[in-house]
Parts: sequence; structure tokens; C-alpha cells
Amino acid sequence: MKNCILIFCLTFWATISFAETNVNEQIDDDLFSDYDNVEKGQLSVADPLYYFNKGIYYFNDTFYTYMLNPVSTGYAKVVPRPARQGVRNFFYNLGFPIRFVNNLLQFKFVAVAEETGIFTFNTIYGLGFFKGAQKEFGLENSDEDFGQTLGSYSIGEGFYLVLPFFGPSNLRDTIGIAGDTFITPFTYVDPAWLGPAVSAQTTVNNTSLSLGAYEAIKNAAVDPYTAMKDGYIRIRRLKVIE
Amino acid sequence: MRLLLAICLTTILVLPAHAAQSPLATLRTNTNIILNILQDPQYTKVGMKKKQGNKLIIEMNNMFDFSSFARGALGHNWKRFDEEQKIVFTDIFSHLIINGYLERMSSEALDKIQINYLESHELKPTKSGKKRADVNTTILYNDVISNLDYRMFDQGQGWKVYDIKIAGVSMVANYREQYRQKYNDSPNEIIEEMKTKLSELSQE
Repeated sequence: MKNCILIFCLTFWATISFAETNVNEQIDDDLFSDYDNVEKGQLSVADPLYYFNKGIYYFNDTFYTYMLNPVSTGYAKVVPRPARQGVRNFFYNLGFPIRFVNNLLQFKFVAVAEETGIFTFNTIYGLGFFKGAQKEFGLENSDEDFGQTLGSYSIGEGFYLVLPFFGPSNLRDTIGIAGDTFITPFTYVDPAWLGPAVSAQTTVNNTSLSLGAYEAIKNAAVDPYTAMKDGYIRIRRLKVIE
Repeated sequence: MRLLLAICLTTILVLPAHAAQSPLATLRTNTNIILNILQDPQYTKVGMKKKQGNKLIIEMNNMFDFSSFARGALGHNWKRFDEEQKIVFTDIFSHLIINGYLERMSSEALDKIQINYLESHELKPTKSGKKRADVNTTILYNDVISNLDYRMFDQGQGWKVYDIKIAGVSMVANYREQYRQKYNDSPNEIIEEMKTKLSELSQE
């Protein structure tokens, strides 16, 4: 009789425990039901050049670690933060033609007006070194580029690409970068070497203002290549939708 | 009389102190606690770093639900892990997240960061009755505004974060994609890889 009671108790306990486990599993499944599109691979993009891309990824990583990061760290020690912010604002202001043309191509006329207002105000009051229009009037920049313009015309992103020095991209955005170079003022500076020199300076300056950001992504990732690929794809898709 | 006293005491003990706190208020309170610990001058003294680290881990566990975070990150792979592996994975994963968060926060000039808590939206509750909400925040640092959105749930024990969207990119979804690529790796291989990564990071 004692054995019967023991068996009954054990069976009852096992049934309860099993039910609890199932409930817990169900609760957790429930919490992430809207994340299933990741599992089905619906958010990933084709990567037919995987080995090439990974090679370029390692090249960029090495370049960042042994060249860009030390130079930017040294630069940050020599040039005070407000000056670096001013330099970043100055070159961002000069990127106005890209934003203006691409907003226009996407029929975003309010953004075109805002961009024009910001550029005019900031150039006149402070030669573009300060974000006066944004702070004074609450205007916002609309960072549109040709890759996003093509996306807004429902042109697919193609396959994933990692570009030397530029980093993650895709076929559509690579064409977009090429398109934007035609409306970048630096393409037409004389002598010709000044354009790449300015780009290098801008990269060092901007990196000096976000030191540690790349390392944070890399250190937190279990597979940095996939983490950066996924992050890039998602950010770009959001930008196209906006 | 005794019965009345017992009912009163039980009500006080059972009713959670945070019952009235909205997800936004909970997030603000927890973030401020963490920022205060990071900025507390007593921890700049020699030998106090470990104490600061331990306190931060406790507070981060109050703010985040790491078991849900880890489960969401693994996605379908979670079912391949046995109970012990799930516990080990959750522990290592939470350390990876905490390390990353603290490393990032410690390297910034915290007094120059401006956090704006914008709004919170209630999401559809889960079938099991968990309340869910998104809290939108912006961070102004170095003259640049970044969006940081927190996804939280409440199962009657207060709001806890179980995902963060950085510039619209969900951390859980990003990890899920990384682990999706590792479907050929056994749970033990995944755990060992994470242990190695964590020990490499602690040596840096």
C-alpha cells in the first residue's frame, strides 16, 4: 500500500513538473513569436561571395585595428573634441548636394526644403562648423543617398558585399556609392589627390569621435562577420522604408 | 483580529512595491541606479573596482531578464540544449551582454551623455498573459542623437528588459541570426566558444 502511495505521489509530481516545463516553454515561445522571421531566414540576404567578403572583412578589421584606430586615437589626443565636432559638421554640411538630390529623387519635398534651410543657415552663420539650424529651429537632416533612392524605386538590394575601407554593403548600395560620387564636391577638387586626402581626414576625424564603438560590436558578437552583415542589412532596410 | 492582521500583512507582502511603476519609469529608475554606480567616486579608489562590478551585476539583473534574452537569442537552437546547458549558456551570455554594456558605458564621458525617455507603447500581451511594452529613448552624445528602444515585459513582478533595439536593430534578432548560422555546432561547442571569447575579453 505504501508503495502504491509512493508511486502515485511520484507520478503526480512528475505530471505537475512536466506540465510546468511545458508551460515555461510555451511562455518563452510566446514572448518571441514575432521574431520567427529571423529563423526562417527571411531577413537575410544572399552571400554568394562569402569567402571573398570574409577576406575583405579581415582586411578591413586589420586596417582598423593597426592603422585607423591608432591614428584616430592619437588625433583625438592632439585635437580638442569641440574642434573635431566642428570639422565633422563642416564636412557633413558639404555633403548637402547628396542629401538634396536624393531627397528630390524620392519626392521628399519637405526634407528638400529643410536640407536647403539647414545648409544655407549653417553656411552663413558659422561656415558649417556648427549645427545652428538644428539647434535653433529644431530642423532635422534627412540622410538620403542614392542606394536608398534606388531602394525607394523598389530595386532589390542584390547580394551582400564587403567593400575595402567602406565595409558592409550590397550590390545596390555599391552602385549607390558610385552614383553619389558624381554629386560630391570632393570629386571635382583640383588637384585630384585632394579628394581622397579629404576623405581620409574625414574618416580619421569621425572615427576619433566614436572610438570604441567598433570594438563594442565586435566584442559583444559571437560571430562578428554575421553580426555586422545582419546589422547593416536591417539598418539599410529601415532607411529605405523611412 | 489576528485574521485581519494576517490579511493586512499578506496583502502588503504580496502586493509588489513596483505595482504602480510604468515601464518607462522602471527603465528610468534602473538606468539611473546603474549610472550612479558608474559615476560614484568611492569606486575610483584602489581595490574598489570588483565591488563596483558586483553591484552593477546585481542591478543589471534587476533591469534585464537574461534568461529570456538568452532564450530569444538562441531561437530554435534553444531546444537542442539540455537543462544544464541552458543554465550555463544563460550565465555566459549574460556576462557577455553585461561586459559589453559596462565596457561601453565606462568608456564614455557619462556626465556628457543626455538620455531622453520619449514614450512607451503597450504591445499585444503574450498568450500566457505577459504584458509587453516598447520604451523609446534617445541618447545625445558628441552632438549626435542615437535611438535606443527597450522591449520589456511584466509577469506581475515588475518590468524587465528582454531586448534592446539600437538604431532600429534588435539585439535578440541579431544574435538569433548569428546562432542560426551555427546550426551545425553542438550546444557544447557553442558554450565552449563563448567561454573562450569571454576569457579573451577579460584578458584584454
